[in-house]
Amino acid sequence: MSEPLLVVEDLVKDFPVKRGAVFGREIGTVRAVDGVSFDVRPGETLGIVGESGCGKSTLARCIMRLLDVESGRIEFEGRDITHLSRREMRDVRSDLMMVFQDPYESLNPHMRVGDIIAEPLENFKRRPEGGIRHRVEELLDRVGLRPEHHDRYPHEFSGGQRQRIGIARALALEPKLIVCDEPVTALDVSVQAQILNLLSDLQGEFGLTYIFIAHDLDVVRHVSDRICVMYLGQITERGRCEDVYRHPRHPYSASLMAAVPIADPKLARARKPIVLEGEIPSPLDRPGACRFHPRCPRAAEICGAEDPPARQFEPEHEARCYFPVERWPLGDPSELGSRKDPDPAVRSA
Amino acid sequence: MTVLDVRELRTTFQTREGAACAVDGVSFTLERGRVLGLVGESGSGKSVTSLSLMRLLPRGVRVEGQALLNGVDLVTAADAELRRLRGGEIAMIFQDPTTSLNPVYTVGWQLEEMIRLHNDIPRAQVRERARDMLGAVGIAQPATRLDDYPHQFSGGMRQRVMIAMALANNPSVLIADEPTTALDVTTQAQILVLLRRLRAEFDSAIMLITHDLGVVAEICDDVAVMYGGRIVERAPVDEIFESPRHPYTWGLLDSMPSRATSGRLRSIPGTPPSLTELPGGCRFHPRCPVAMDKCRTEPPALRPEGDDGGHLDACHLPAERKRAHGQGLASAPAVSR
Repeated sequence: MSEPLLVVEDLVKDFPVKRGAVFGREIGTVRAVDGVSFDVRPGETLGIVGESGCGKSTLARCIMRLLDVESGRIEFEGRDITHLSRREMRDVRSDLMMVFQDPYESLNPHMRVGDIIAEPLENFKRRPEGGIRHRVEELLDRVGLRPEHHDRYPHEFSGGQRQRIGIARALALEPKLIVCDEPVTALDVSVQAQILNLLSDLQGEFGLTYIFIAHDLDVVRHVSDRICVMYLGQITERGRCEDVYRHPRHPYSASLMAAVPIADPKLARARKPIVLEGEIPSPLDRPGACRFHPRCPRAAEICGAEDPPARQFEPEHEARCYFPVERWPLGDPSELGSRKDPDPAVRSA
Repeated sequence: MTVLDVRELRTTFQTREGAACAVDGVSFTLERGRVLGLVGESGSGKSVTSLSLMRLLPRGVRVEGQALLNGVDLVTAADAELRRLRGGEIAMIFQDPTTSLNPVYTVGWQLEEMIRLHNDIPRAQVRERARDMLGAVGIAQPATRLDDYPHQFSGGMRQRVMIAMALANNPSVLIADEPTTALDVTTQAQILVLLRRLRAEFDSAIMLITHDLGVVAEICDDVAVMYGGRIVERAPVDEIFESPRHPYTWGLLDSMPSRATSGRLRSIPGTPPSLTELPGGCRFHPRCPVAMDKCRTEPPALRPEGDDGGHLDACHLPAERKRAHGQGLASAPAVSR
């Protein structure tokens, strides 16, 4: 197995919570990322999936060093980049790029498309063979736009085309890793498919590595080799994509998968829905121990008392749960609420 | 039983680039106790259709055609009549539950206003009805929650409040415009279960506007696929998924990652057209993989194939071609979950 390109170890990120409009007094902190560890191997796509507020976008910004972290380590190609200064980060920046969710907000409306794509080249004083304009036109062509788009402004483009511009900009410096934060969420279905195809073509062509962050489970399944499921700042389950989708072990991943609408009316009618109670709690009053226990249909006393350890299933497939889901799909939704393992707290008593 | 009969609805905006026909001759009916899914991408005219029916478009936008709601034509109804109908006979749920509730009034006040405006009943009864409605949409302790403000509710709970308001006067027609798009997937599942239950309880006709074919499969009985302001295909939900006939419907289904059989998605080339520069003939022809000469000039009519009156499509392709493709899709295994 090759050396990982990126290693993240026990990453923690807090945000201050302030009260008062003018002299905001700090009244506490919100832990957005809470001890996250994973690695990314060259050439693979690591999917990170979770609902709003789970900390997946904050995690992306920490990896990109757009946010400073409280503790933990980020290692890129064996080099610890967690505390590099802005100047030191410059060496790494060109290998580490990001594609943002909103193609309307992430492109400067006052700049021509060609200048947007050329900006990283200028910033890093690259002198590509044939000149910058030639390189930009080559990039435009590569992402499915035309050379004459060089002198147009972002507002002249549709959402899908803007996302192509964002991708061309990310490619300009030939990075090794691209962090894609909800890259197709704002797009129509048919355009979403084009962008997913483009990302996969580029990966094959340039040997790119992706961290692909999204809330859409079908999209993540389609693009990822391995996935991490996040809930309230923690990774609750991880594994090879097919292993996790074939048999989710954590009750949260299981209910998440059961909640995704099936695009087949007959199957959808036949399926008995598993509906989770309540909603994701605010990170301000995060439950202790297992973060999911107040909503979990199979929670026992111990789930609210002690952090569940990671349990291993298939190679690389692990879930942090005392009572992992025994079989999948469930014969009946109520099965999720009935666990076979005795409560370890009761057993030891 | 038909409660809303829409015929040749046409909505035209005046823009600096000329007239833009956002809805171009759309006809359908809504039946009691059934859910019609109106599906399409941005700019297909699905939201403008609902706003035209609710007459919520600014002055200066021309709406033509007919929309008969229990005998009253919504297109020509006077303002006073509309005020009676809206929130009474026909109600609407919007996509974003955060912006559609007034932040400075309690949820109870807003819900009671809805009931008061349409019923001449004593205050105590209004309050009681509001409480029952909150309970019906699955909000715990409805009596105390009535005094809370919208910001004290989560996104999913706010959408429940919106649904309670819409159903407060037991409308014949409920229009839900992307009701779950802004919600997380587990919350979306809760709202879909709720809508399914309420459809049975209240027996309203529901028009569900969405871009998500998964949501359509979960809850709709019938589907109308819109493109460029027109309905291109209309059929019972099973037919749309098992034997789609219009190349645009094929493309939409093929674009879904959950239905992909191999690594690449068969996407639709190009982007949806802008309303000010709609192509002539069939609106879809510039993106259509099987377009013929005829498609560039002659707009196809929405019509049944043979004697199957329940399944209509607007495409010039010969019937065998449409069938052949449809069956090819149906044989592709759906992803099991």
